[in-house]
Amino acid sequence: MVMAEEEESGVSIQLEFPKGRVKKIMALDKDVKRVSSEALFLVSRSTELFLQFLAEKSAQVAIEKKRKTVNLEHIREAVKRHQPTRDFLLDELPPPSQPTKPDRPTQPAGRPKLDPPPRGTRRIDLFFRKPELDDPAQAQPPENPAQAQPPENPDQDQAQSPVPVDES
Amino acid sequence: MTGTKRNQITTSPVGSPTSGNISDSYSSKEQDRFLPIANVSRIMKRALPANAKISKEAKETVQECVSEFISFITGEASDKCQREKRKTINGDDLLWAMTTLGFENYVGPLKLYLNNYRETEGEKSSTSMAKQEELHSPTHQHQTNIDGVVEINKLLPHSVAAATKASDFNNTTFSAGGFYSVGPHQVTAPKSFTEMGGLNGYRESSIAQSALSADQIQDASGNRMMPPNLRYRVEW
Repeated sequence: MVMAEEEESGVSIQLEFPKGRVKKIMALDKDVKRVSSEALFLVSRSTELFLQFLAEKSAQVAIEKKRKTVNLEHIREAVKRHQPTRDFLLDELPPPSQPTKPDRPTQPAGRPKLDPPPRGTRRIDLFFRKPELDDPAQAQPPENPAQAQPPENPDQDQAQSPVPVDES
Repeated sequence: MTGTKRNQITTSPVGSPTSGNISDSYSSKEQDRFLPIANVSRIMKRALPANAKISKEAKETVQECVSEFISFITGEASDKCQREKRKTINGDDLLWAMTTLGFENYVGPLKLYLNNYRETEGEKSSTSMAKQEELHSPTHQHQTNIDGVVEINKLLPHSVAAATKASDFNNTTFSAGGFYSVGPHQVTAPKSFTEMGGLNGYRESSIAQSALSADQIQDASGNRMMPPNLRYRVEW
């Protein structure tokens, strides 16, 4: 599956992420002043590869635990299993809350202020699921940001606006 | 560098619960720090089995992870540029950064993508070459005009030569009657010379002089006129 996706991606030059947004994230570092068009292209592609990798590993963890829905714990476990990713991501993930027993209702461990874990009862699950159905519609409008091409990139790169997809 | 990143990290957890609880609290500045969640979700679903689902919390966490990955790679590439006293981060810097940070698996696929990207750039270069060829044509036409100017200049010496010859002919006349009769011919010769061309004009001048000699013979009243006639023949 990975090979098929790579071949498919190789054929098309279109990028998945808007270049303006990628450039803004790169520019968060004050030391970053100029970025060539090739560099911007490579960052976008490598981000896609990283995202695919993270999703696949998380899916494996979910399958091992016999779950159909990928959640935060599965992502954390996937991050732990890859040393390079672990080095820069593990400390930044939300603090764990009883990773070995996620379904049992227990007191939250770590820093509850930052990320209060949901307690295992049906009523709470139902409460959280409803907003998920409404959020995709609300989240779609800001997905087409205007992209301004800076003079540092004289080469005219094709601007790609993401097409909103119904996630339900 | 590490301190700066930690500061950024500190901001992220604070924002995360707020955005998780109330979606309306998304501000434009907050949104700019992450890639669009629709794009992130689409790629995640593509990499997962068909029946798999992703919780909203997981999507948001991955959204942050991806932004952190970009900052992580960019920071390493930027450090390399500073050590080498360069201001622009290029593709090789990023490939090097990924290898250094443990993502060497990405370098192979990325080089393939980069080759496709450069081929597209190459096509743009060929287009600019075609434009340069179009610009070359007017230059060639300009050279043609210059040649025309050169041809015009070549005609001037002949005119000057014709005028000089006419003056010499005028100087050889020493009788009053001869001078008067030479006047009209002097005016005609240059015109015919200019119209016909150098060589033809010269021949007509000779014919005119012969006619002049005939006129002098008719006006002759004695032996006095014969010697000048002979002199003319000797000169020509």
